[in-house]
Amino acid sequence: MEVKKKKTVFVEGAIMPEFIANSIAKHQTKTSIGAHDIFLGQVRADEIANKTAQAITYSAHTEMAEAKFHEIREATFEKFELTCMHIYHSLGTVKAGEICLFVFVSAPHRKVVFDAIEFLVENIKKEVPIFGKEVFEDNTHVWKENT
Amino acid sequence: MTELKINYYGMIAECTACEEEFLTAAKLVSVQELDHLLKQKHPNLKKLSYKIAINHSFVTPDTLVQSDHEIALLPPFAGG
Repeated sequence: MEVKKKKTVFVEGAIMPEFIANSIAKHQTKTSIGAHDIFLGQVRADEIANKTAQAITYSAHTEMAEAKFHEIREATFEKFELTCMHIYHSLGTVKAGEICLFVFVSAPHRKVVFDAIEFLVENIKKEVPIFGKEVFEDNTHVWKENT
Repeated sequence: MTELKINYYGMIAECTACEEEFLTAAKLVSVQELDHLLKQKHPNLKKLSYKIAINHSFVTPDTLVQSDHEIALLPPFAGG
């Protein structure tokens, strides 16, 4: 099998809209691409027991998580005819309204990117050891759990 | 005697009040026995949901843990 360089997924803090815009711009030279699909996970101000979440603080088993991300990447490339794929996830504190996950897939035609993005996001949520605590204004917190 | 290093994450680390600790077992123990020992040491673990990863993988409960294994207690995932 071809050996691909492992990519780093984690970024400290929120993923900036400018970073996402730059990432899109970088693909303008790749003219075999005809379709992109992007998923952005945004921190929601959940209301729990009359308190509103202000932020999520993410932590992870980083080594295992990076390995899982790599595995999911490879499985996605195997399953779908993609030109390229990018995954970024936050660590540390991300405020409500900010972006914590950025997944970006590109292919010659549209159908495949819709399927690939769903496959990717669902697997990331289910398989990657990332933990999040929702922090309230009074500094109390609850631990978040993907359903 | 085997000395095992255990890593805790997220709400599990909050429950045990540490991110890693060493545990000395009198004999070779399985993942299931290790889990039992950890719950004796930290009774609050009984209330929490978690999975034990050995060298980044989930293994059968009867797998024996070795001192060079990376043992991690992982609470429910919340990525994305």
